[in-house]
Amino acid sequence: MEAAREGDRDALDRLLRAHYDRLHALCRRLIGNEADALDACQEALITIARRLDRFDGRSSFATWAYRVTTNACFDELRRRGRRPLAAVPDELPAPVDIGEATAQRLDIDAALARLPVEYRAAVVLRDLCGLPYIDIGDVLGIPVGTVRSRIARGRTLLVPLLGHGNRPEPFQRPTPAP
Amino acid sequence: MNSHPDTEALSAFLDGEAPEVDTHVATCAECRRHLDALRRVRSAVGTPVPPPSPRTRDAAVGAAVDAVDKPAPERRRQWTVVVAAGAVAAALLVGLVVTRAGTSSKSSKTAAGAVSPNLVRAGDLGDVGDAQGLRAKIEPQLTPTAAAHAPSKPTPAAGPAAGAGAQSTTDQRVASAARQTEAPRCEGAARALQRGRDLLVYVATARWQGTPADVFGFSPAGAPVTGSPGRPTPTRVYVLARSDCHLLVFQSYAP
Repeated sequence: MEAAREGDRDALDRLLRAHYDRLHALCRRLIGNEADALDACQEALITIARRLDRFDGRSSFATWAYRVTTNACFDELRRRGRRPLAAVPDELPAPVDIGEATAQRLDIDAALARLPVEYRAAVVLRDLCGLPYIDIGDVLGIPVGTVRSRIARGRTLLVPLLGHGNRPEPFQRPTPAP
Repeated sequence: MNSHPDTEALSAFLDGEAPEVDTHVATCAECRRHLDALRRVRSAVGTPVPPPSPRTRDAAVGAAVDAVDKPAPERRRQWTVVVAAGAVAAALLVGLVVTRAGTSSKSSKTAAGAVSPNLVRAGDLGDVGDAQGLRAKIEPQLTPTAAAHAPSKPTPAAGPAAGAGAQSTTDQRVASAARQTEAPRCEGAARALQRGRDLLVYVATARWQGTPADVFGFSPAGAPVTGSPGRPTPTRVYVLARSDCHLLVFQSYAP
């Protein structure tokens, strides 16, 4: 990390490589299709590489990298708002790849795409990236109470959107017991 | 019994951020059902995302490392110009330039309308109904053949019933770098979608799930496109409805 900050290109390469898959996963879930996710991830990596000397260490590098990447995704989503959405998700590494796992992934992407982006980001940072609330607040620049609220609302909206085999009755806000 | 905790508290409890509701949840079946629903959502969203190929990762990391010594683009200012312009077409065109400036480390001066010298005009692919079928029709047309060494010698357009394999190989036309006059209607829209980063390497028509469509394939500008024994394989393929050029399907192919 320190070597990378001081200009060691091999160290920078190793640092970015170590975090690439996690950052790509965040992009994939926030954006919903592979091509735009790769673009956003590329933008994020470039920003991280260029601004690494300004990373002040007040948060962990991972949290800082998530913040840069989340902002890159927001930028990508704003750009995508100016052009049509892909009708069918992408990613075809091999013809046999479209199976149950892919179908489930498409369900998740489709469901997440219906969330307001601020809810989506909070839920993904928590449930995919595993960040604690305080770090999510740091990434998104919001108080912890707002993080808690956005995650709860996002999950609640997702309950009916994510098809699950034995899902019980639709989720409803608990009512006071008599 | 006390009032049920609200959804926010239950959700936070799931994350270990609201231990105060533990006692209630332990004795309340209704809250446990709600927790189970939230837990399923958390599990689904947490489903691991398949990582990109090592080659994609290498390229992305390499580009980022290379970008350290290059000046950052003045992206925001250029987008302001785009918004002020107001026109969607203009926005897409300028956005294309902005994006190139922001991410390309090697060929940022490639023209927006860049076309591979080995552009494949594949004629009509016929009926295509899904992603696998699309790929199955495109890939056989890209295997190196004698025709690949005969640029600037277009052959007659393929008939509407042309299929994959030998028939479609015969139907290929390898264009010269000069643009042909019968550019497909939706080429501009396809370029706007892929934002000009790559070279146009493949053009065809098809009926996508019954809808007449244009098919465009792009590959990175750094791919071997001149003097190579084969043809550049598209890494991004767009299928657009010919009627209004809206996107029907997008596919990214592993390089």
